Amino acid sequence: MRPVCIVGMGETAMGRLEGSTSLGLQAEASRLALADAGIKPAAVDAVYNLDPYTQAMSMFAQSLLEYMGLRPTVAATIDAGGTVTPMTMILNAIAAIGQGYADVALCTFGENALTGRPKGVHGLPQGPSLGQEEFEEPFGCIGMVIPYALVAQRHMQRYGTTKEQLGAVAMSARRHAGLNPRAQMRKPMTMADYMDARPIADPFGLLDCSVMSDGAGAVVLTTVERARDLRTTPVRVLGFGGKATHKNVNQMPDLDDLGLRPAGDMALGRAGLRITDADFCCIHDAFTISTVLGAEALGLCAPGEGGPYSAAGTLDLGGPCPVNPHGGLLSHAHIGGMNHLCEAVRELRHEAEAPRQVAGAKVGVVSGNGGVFSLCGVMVLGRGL
Amino acid sequence: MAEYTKPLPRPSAATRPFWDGCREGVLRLPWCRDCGRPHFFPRSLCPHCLGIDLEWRAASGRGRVWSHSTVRLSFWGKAFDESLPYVVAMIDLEEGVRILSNVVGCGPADVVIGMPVTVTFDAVTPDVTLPRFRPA
Repeated sequence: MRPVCIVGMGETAMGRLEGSTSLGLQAEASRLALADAGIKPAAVDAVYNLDPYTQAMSMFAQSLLEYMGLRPTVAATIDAGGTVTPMTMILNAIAAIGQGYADVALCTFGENALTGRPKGVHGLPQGPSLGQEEFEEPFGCIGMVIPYALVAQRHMQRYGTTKEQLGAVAMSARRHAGLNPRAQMRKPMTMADYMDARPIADPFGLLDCSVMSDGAGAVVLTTVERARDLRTTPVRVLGFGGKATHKNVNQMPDLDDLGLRPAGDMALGRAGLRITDADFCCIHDAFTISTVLGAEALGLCAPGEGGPYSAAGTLDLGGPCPVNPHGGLLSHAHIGGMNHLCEAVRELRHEAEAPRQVAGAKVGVVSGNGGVFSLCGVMVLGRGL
Repeated sequence: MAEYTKPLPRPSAATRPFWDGCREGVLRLPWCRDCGRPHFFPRSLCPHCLGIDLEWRAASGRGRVWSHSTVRLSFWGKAFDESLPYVVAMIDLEEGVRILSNVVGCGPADVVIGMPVTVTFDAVTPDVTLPRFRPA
């Protein structure tokens, strides 16, 4: 296997981008990532993307390569859910490049989820029922908020996690977003703002939920050999771990048996590192409870201690292991977790704006899940070759 | 009667006996004759052993709340507006499977994890009866 690394990264503006299209956003992020790497578009021979959640489309990788005038050897749309989608794109890129089937891979996701969804829709618009939605939707369990609320309620009952502790997660993300010029939600948030937010599904109010965003991100991978001639600081994938257990919340195992912990153990083991080696973490924070569970599963704190850990301000920049220095899905933007990978690359290249940059960052851990902790994945990234 | 605009189950061959049972006032679960275990949701094979020799058995209808959420916003157009707030809950049935449903017959604030509940049937259309749960 030829060793592979990430050599390019690009992000569009995030937020309300009137008139944007999912294809246009992915193409723009891809253009930026290729320019960042200093690689000509004609050199791209593997393309991985995902079609928009707000408007499912088939063969979207072909749509993108056609739009951008690319003629790759390999092209595929990959839907693993959440941050595990870009991780799975990167795994495929490593395999294709490592085996010599491709030399340069482009991985991108993004969509116009904010302006492109039908009017009056809360969260993502609903698609056709597929399988066991038959056993959720008729009971009014629709979308992603309610399933995660069920998880949060369970965590609160079991460990005594409080609403204020969940609020600490939202406020930490907002503080970080306030330092990020690209973040969608930068207005300071007080605990009163959090507690008074519109109730959605108990225990969640509006500020427990990630934002809806227009935007896209992209990364470019190539061989370590080729990376030596490029201008960017390369970022290596030091380890990946994954665990899938179910799809819909009605099939979810109890909190002890979620896939996050085995995924993290596998990824860190593969990297030969411990969580204390991480300079920062990017945790897929679709909802406040996600950060709590992610911190516990990665071993930043003990099981059940994620609430007090968050309330102590430990997630913040300046803490032992800052979490989501970009502001996360809660306050930066939500484009399926692509930003978590992009932020990890930026931090490891030491290119974040001064107050957000984790000084001397060498190792970053990205933790994510698709669905409702359905398919969990953790990727350990390292600075340099 | 106003048109029913909430989502309805679209039964398949594998799930129709469940919904037929609800219409008849019986909560039925699929059991695998090969490994002797029940499962839920109903499907064409046993998720424990991939056995296909399945049979339907009446369940007790009794269980306990595993988790719950009081929903305060309609996520299906305005269809759920009239029902707000309503309680979505996952119920651990005595038989050892978990089912997602609603808790009715008490105030949302009265629902707690671990509380015993029993099935109650709600004929929402002439064709569809939903199994919901009330305090036991």
